[in-house]
Amino acid sequence: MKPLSIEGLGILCACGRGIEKFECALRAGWVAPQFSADGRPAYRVNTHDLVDREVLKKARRADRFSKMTVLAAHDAMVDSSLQIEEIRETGVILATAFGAHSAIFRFLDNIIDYGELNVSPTTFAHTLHNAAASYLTSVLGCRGPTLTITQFYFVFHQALQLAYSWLLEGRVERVLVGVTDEISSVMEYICDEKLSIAYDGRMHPLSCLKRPKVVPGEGSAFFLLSLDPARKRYGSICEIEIGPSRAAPEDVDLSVIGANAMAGSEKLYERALKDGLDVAAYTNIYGGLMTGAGFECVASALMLKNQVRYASSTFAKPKGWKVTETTVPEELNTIRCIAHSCEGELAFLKIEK
Amino acid sequence: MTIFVTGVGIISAAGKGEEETLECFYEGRRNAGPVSLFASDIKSPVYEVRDLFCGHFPERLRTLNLCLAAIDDALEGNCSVTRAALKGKRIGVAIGTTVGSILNDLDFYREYRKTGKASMVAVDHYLQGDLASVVHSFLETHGPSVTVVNACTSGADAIGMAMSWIKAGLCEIAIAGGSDEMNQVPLSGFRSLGILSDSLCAPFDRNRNGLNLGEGAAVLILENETSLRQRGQRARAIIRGYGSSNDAHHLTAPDPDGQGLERAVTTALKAAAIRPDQISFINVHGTATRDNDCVEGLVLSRLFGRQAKFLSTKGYTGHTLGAAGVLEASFSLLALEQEWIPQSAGFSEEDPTIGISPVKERTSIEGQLALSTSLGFGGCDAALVIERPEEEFLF
Repeated sequence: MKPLSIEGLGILCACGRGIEKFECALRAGWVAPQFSADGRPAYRVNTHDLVDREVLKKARRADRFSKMTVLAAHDAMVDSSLQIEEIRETGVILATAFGAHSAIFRFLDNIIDYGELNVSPTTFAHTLHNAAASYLTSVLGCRGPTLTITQFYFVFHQALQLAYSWLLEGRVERVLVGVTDEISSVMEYICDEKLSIAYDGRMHPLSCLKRPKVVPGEGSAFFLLSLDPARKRYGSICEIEIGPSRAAPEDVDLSVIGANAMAGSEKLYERALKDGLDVAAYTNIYGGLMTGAGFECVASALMLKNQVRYASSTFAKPKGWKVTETTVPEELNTIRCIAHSCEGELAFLKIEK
Repeated sequence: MTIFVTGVGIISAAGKGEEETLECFYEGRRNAGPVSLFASDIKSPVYEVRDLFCGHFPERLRTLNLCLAAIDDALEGNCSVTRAALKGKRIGVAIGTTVGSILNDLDFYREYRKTGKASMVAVDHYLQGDLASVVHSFLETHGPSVTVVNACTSGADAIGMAMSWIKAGLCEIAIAGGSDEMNQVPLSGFRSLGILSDSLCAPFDRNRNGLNLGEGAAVLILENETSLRQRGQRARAIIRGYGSSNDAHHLTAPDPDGQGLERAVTTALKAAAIRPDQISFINVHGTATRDNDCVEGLVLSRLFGRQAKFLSTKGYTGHTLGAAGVLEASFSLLALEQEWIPQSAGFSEEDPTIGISPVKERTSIEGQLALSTSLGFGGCDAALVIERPEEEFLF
């Protein structure tokens, strides 16, 4: 494939808003999650990080999911240094696993509390998966093709593939591709029922456990992409592959695994990556979320740009890979992000300097 | 690259399959009635699918069952691709929906609110019900797979997405579809927005007062020429062009100038390399809300003139949300084959603020090209140009 140049990045997660804060957390290697009153840990986005009267002027009534999306997308645009008129025809693809489910539960609250004849139209409007993308286009003035897509696994990879197709066809010159997922008390309860929660607030992504434990996370990460090699500021994505479980090619300087306990047994990583390879994991920064691959891609892009390898928090003996627990300068030319589904499929993203 | 349609599957209140649907259109029948699928105080008529076969998955997974019924119809009907031929193949699956992608089970949530815990049955159904993923499992295929949740343009956008995959070489065959069930969330939500009619909807009519909800599903089997030639099969249609745009205007209201829709239509016409006057008829979104029909009327007048031949099929199906774009593209394809379009059900008197009228009676059409438009909440606009192929494409 032709390389997809990363022109700009925007990110918002538990460690704050912006690539500087994300990088700071990556350098530290671990961010402690917040604990709810009943002792459940989660990587929640701080409410004060969602306050920006200037950017959110046109999205002041937006829900949390939409605000996260708008802010991360806005920051990716600003990061690219492009002017408003240059982004007008940009395509937008938002990928999410669970969408704005808090708004849906709020709407169900409406039905239960007031009856179906007395529900709030504003709350209803926010139940739509594409409400966030709508706010985004309105705030940024993007009038190009705009899509919201969903899938439980690999939705970020699907979004990248589609963005690539659009660019290849010449439908647009640039695509703003992002992921957003949120957590809520209901979703935390579901995680507790369906998965094992890491009640000590520590995940073990490099241990390849059969029954890994999760700290649920939320946030949004955006990429401004084009096929213009002269515009790449964070390297480029040069491979997007989804397929059955297989060994990863050993042609990269570092493999970042998306082990986040959301897709069952993580033994697949052990089989995909031989002992002795350089491996890292950053889920203890943003938590477990189905769209975590977006965050791993941001971490990788930053490593390639800054030529450092960020610390991986281990907490337990990792597999026989080369893992560093401190941030070190390193010559990095290529990184592969690897994610898996509970059906045993693997997705690869290769990013080059 | 030419994208061919080799199979069509449809299910809606207008009928299961092509024959029933065409009969319904021919007779001008409107199969609407009160909600029967759940208890509701809302009096607006709805278009439900009666006697849905739910042999594949639990009845509760209605959107999924509708989708699979459409796939069965496509593959077992007059499609040249069989299920057996697809097994093990790399194909793309893009399915549009709104309701099918959300965890909105009232019983689950009521129980959770009351006790802080709830049975996981609804959650399991939700987690197992991702439409595109299930279609792959159901057909034992693999390849690109996405559920499109772009409100009411989801179906049309799913077709556009499948086209992009084929053009990019990600697959040679793709299933592009849309599916949505009758559900309490959109029903009460649309009512709260004041755009649900208490009577049968009347798209473009002077006295229209809102939409009726419907449910249904449709799928198109899309292929490139290589795939079609390999099997030596017949193409039913060609998707000549797809265009999409965003109003960047409002969460639930279309841009009153219709610039987003105009961009989507002109993009589709440009992709098809045709002029507006080559379009035989337009199957418009035509929901029968005051705003939607005004905007569409404005854009149609600007691009196609006052004599444009157009109709809305929402009067036969209701607004099927994520399924609408594919259902209406399928209806357009059938109309090209049959060389007639049905009367635009519900229309009787021209709205002077719109200034153009849909067809009032069953109308013969000439030519090979049709346009299908979709608009959605979130400012989404999409347009598809569909062509009845020349003999040369009957491989």
